[in-house]
Amino acid sequence: MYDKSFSGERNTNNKYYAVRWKAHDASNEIKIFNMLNHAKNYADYSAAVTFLQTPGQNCVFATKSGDITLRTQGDWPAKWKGQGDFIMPGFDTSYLWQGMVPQDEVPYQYNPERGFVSSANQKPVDDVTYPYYLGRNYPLYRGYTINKRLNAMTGITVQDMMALQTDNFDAAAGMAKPFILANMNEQALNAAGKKYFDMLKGWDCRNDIGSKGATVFNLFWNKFEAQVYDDEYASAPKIILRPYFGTLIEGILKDSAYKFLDDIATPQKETLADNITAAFNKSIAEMEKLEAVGKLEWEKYKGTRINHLAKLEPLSRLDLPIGGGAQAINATKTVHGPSWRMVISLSATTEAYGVYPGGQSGNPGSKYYDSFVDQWAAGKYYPLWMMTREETGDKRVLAKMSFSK
Amino acid sequence: MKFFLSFILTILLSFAFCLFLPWWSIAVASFIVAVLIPQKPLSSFLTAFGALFLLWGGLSFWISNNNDHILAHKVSQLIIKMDSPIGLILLTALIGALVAGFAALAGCYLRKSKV
Repeated sequence: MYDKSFSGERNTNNKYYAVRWKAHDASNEIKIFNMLNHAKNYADYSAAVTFLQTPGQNCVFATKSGDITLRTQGDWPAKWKGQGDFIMPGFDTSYLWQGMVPQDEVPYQYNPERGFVSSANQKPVDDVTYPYYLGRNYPLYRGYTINKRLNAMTGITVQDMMALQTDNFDAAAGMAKPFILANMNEQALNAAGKKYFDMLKGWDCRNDIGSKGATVFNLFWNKFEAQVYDDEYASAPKIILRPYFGTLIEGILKDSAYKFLDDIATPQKETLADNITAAFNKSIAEMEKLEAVGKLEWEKYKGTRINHLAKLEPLSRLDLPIGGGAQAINATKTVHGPSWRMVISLSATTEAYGVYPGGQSGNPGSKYYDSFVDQWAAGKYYPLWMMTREETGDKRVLAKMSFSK
Repeated sequence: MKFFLSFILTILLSFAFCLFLPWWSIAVASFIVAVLIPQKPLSSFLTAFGALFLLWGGLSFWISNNNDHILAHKVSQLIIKMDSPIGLILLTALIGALVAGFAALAGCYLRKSKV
């Protein structure tokens, strides 16, 4: 529905915008959980998850007999390339969604040859062969690391999976670092700059606790992106999309004469080395400032926090000692990251482990309010009790609830 | 003697009232005691002040201590901007003491004006 009187008082130039929101469509997502709880095999699983329409989710599945699958499940609009990325003329019905992706064409993998399924929200399909457009901004680097690591692993144990989930290797930095080292004009750096550049040189591309190289890299990278793109953006509208994270890495990886490297405000032609050296020089001041206050270590710079809903600091957990970052499997950023971690071993008796950065009580006065936070930050797990029928008398049972018709 | 009797009575009555009534019923309790047991204005104020300071201070310490002061540590940072459960308990006691003290003073003056 489009109503010209709903301006939201934010319209400009008397233009009004409308949006089609998938969550307005009727659907029955709760049914999935009931059906999954009774599911015995792949057919039952498939029948259950297809009820998931909104929001789309990557649904993984495994059986003790060895079947595995992953569906990028949802009721996706069947779009042409770029449809909906930009504002379109709403008065022309040919711009509306013309239909949905049929459920048998939703992206999925079933028992793939490589022997595993995985997703870190990377793009689930190949643009060339898949007939529908599923958007363009997908994180790339975590999925890349996960697939590479899983391909190389054999005889995987529960501990291996825990180590994988909490891995701090930054794949994007791993790809970009050789280019930075090769193109830095060290003569143009002052003494402080040389010191920080040495930190970067010696960095193992891991966002571990205590790593100063990780902070240096991230500060530099922000300045590098600005150095490369700001000249083009100088004359652009104030509110406009910036390039996605991977754009710059891909640009310099594919083409050493990447066209945005040139500063269009100057007559001469800037090179990759010019950009890298200038950006590094511009980031030195911030590195010195952080070092002066003892915050050059990655976890101190990042300052991961678990906020209370009302953002009241005494009810939050601030400055958690945890590594990771946006491009690491342990994708822990400042206020966002992998909260629920779980490893399940479908051995004869199911073994399950899990943890999340919270607690079992929502009462800030309870000792169970945040009792899992430190365990989560340390990358440790709790065993989860997969209760069997024989264990009803177990001493861990604290209370019983009886249902009757 | 009057002081001691008023003191004990204010504590008992305030405690009993608050089992069933809102927190400000301590004002009613202190007022009644001040009307029933005549004292000089300053003494009646101090009696109720001391009684509620002790009652609310003691009660809130007892409640907070049973919680290992977990909630008081957090709430004290929110309200008095420092991490001090004792500070929060003393503030609680002071609020109760002031309310009760002025209620008793009112009771005392009411009695005086009648005599």
